[in-house]
Amino acid sequence: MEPKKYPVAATADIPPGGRKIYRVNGREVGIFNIQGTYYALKNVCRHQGARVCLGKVTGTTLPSKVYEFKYGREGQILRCPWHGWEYDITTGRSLFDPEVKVVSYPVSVEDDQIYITM
Amino acid sequence: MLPYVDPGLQHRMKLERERSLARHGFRKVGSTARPATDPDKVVEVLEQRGVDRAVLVGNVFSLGVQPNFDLAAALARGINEATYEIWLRGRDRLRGSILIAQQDPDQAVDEIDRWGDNPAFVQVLMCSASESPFGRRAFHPIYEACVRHNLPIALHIGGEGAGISSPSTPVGHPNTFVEWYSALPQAYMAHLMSMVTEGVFERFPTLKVVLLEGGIAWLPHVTWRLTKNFKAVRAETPWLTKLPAEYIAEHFYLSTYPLEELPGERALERVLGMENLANRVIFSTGYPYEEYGDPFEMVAGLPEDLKRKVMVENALSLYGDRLL
Repeated sequence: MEPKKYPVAATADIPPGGRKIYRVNGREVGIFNIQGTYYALKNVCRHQGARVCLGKVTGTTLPSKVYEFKYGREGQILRCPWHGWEYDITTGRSLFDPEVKVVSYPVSVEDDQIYITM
Repeated sequence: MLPYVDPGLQHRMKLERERSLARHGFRKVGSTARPATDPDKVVEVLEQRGVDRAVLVGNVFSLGVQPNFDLAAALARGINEATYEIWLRGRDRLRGSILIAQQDPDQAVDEIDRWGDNPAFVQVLMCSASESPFGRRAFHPIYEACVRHNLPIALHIGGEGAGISSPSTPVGHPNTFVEWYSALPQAYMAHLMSMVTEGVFERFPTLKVVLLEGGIAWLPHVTWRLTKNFKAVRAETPWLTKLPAEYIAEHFYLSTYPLEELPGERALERVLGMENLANRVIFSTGYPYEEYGDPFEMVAGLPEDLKRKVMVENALSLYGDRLL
């Protein structure tokens, strides 16, 4: 099937740092606003199918030397509410293995309207 | 005194004494001979059994938990000297292990540096009984020294519960020998998880670890459990760049003696098919003791390609040119 563009929400509905869940074309999708850029992730964790977009939006410990703890990426990490798997909201990829990825959708904004393509 | 003790426990005490004598090298159970005390005779036995190279593990199972650190270090030095002078010098069929007392890493490092470039030694050896898990940073200088000399580090069970070590199980001291001995792989599980998570292999990417006499079938369980749980709490150890299963498959080797008695047809083959074990299990013996079965029988049923890996190739890949 050809991908189709679906209107989801008005930009004003999801301010920076915000997140909302929508049902689009029969699928639950989380829309995240990170500093004015919108990202769309399917609301299904790759681990056991939890509604991952309900998880905490947070930062995390960054790649570091042994015994070093550097906190960063505040607001860009989604942590699944069931078992704590961390995902990079901007790519959908898990932090422990980039091959493990929540389905993500292209997002576009036209005239204050957010669209996703699926 | 013995005749005054309950007869049933008298018997247990006698068994204990026999086993203790046997384990400390005085004689084989049921025999009066002192085994493995003549290097030339040992070399003869190796020739007869078709063993081209034997790596000696002249262990003192509780050396690393001896409360007097200087005594432990002095014993290690003496044993290494004796191993070289009495056993290794001039006998190309034999290779040695540099025994260290890990409770004092400074002296352990000196001992590794003393022997590390001597081609008669192919690994560093310490007992798995320990005051704390081996991933702890206090032990890192030991690994640094191993890597400096391109030597793997071997662990040997047997001192668990003694000296300054914890009880040999997480729930306390077991009552019987069978519990104590059967539970010893728990020490390997703890050390393995500690070394992986504390980033030992990020700091020392060429380090290899050999786990002796602890069986092999527990390894897949620990690999799966640690890897699964890591995914949930990765943020605790942000320095890890790979999944635990990858570190384990790359850095840990195990030995065949004694194997769990794996039930069913081709069971050993099935276990070797898990988690890259086929490439990192190495033939070993408990010579001169064979309380746990004939080491050659244990691997006799393997298909030829697997047998060749276990008997030859895996050891070569671990020890490299030092075996040639």
